[in-house]
Amino acid sequence: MGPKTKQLAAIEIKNLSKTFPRKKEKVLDRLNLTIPAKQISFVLGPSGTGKSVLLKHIVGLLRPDEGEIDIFGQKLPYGSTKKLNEMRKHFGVLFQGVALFDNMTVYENVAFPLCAHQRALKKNIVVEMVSETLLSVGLDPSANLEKYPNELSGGMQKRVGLARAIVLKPDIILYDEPTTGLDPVNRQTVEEMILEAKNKLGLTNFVISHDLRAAIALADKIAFIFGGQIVFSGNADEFQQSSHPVIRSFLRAEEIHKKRSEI
Amino acid sequence: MARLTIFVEEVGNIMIFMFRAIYWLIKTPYRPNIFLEHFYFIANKSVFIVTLTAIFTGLVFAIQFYFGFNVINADALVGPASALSLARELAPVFTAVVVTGRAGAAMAAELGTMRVTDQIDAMEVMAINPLQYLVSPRILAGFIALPILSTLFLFIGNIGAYMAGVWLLGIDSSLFYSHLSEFVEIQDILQGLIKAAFFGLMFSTLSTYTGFTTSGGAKAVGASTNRAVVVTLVLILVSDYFLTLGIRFLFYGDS
Repeated sequence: MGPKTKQLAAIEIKNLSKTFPRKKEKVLDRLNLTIPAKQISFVLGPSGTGKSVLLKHIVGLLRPDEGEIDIFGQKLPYGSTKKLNEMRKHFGVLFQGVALFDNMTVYENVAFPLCAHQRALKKNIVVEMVSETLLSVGLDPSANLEKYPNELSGGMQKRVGLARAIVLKPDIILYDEPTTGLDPVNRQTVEEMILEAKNKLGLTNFVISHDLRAAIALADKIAFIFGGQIVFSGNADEFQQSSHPVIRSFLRAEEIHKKRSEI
Repeated sequence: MARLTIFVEEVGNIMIFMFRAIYWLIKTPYRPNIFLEHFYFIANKSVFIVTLTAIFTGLVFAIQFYFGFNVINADALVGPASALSLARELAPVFTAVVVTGRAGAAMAAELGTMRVTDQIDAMEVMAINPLQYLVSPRILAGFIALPILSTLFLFIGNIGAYMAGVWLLGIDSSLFYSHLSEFVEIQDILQGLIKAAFFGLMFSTLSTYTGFTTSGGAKAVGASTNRAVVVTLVLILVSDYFLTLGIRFLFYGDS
């Protein structure tokens, strides 16, 4: 057997710290995390522990007080909007509330980043690309192109959001609480969508969530955030065996919730 | 002292926001269609409400001037006095008030909703500058639309004044505007246009700033919309005083 090759990191977070002036407490405290490429990684944690803040740092919406983030080995350049925008082409983001532009149709939403960055594209090419992308996330373009977001179900909105996120062919998809607030059917839809993004499209999937069930079912890697730090990092089995008290109580609460649901 | 510091800081933030939006106006990519969309929304969709307000303003002011001038047998001054007050003050101020209530509130609410539902963040993550895409065209549209609407207000307001003076109060039609050229000069029209452009810049900047910096949920959108309208209306009236002094100094060398 040859020497074990080091797995390529899509995102590497080093000593990331953030304090908001008004709250005066550290939301992120020298946080370290490595997200492997082309896998599904979940960051789990109770509400209010800095998961969304972490995601906003990765995509450059927030600037850290200390530390750095490397994307495929390149440092995220917070100081230069132009360079940051170049780096952002690696990302597609599916926000918690999907953040579709509600005054635009499905077509306009998905075409938006395309038209903004490739202004020379002819309309028939854009329509073709949008239709292909919608098909790749399991949506029928002919039935949905002209619909507005408020005419779609929660699951369909998530699919349109994913289509918009991947239309520029990024390498990494970041999901902010993708299954929160969805019914079981739509939850299943979103979970399948994440798996397809990994298996069919070969993307790196970074999910922040408190949905333990989805994490155990989908994740290649689970990290647990608490007190602004990553207190656990490993696979689903290791996570379930973890002796960390906060993880234990998190798992216990999920177990109780599951039993209640079965009753 | 703390309140003063917050006030100064906020004014500074608004100025920086405005200058950044203007800076992004001159940078590529240009998006004329988006500008036209907002211009249509601010200007064209305000035509009816501006016309309605203008006609009644003209009617009321002509009646009030008539009751004043009639005492000294100076009915012929009703037309010029109405035209003068419309040109210098009423057209720009009332147009700004009406457009702030209609378009300013809508702009603040729309941007506020986009902010709290992460649509602005989504745009930024797509490497599209939200300030350039959402704010700059709205500010330019407000700046250009207000003088045009104010001119419409001036025209319709004078028609209203004529209707009240001639048809309602029986002033001789040949007398109504006979002294107009002695009272109303081109500077008066220009004064109104300068004020309208300033108010256009102010209402669009304040509305977009308030919407853009909204934080919280749906309640925060309502609060920021309310704040945008109230602050703009107060500032229109306050700044009108200082603009009047400044413009008099500019045109006539006194204040």
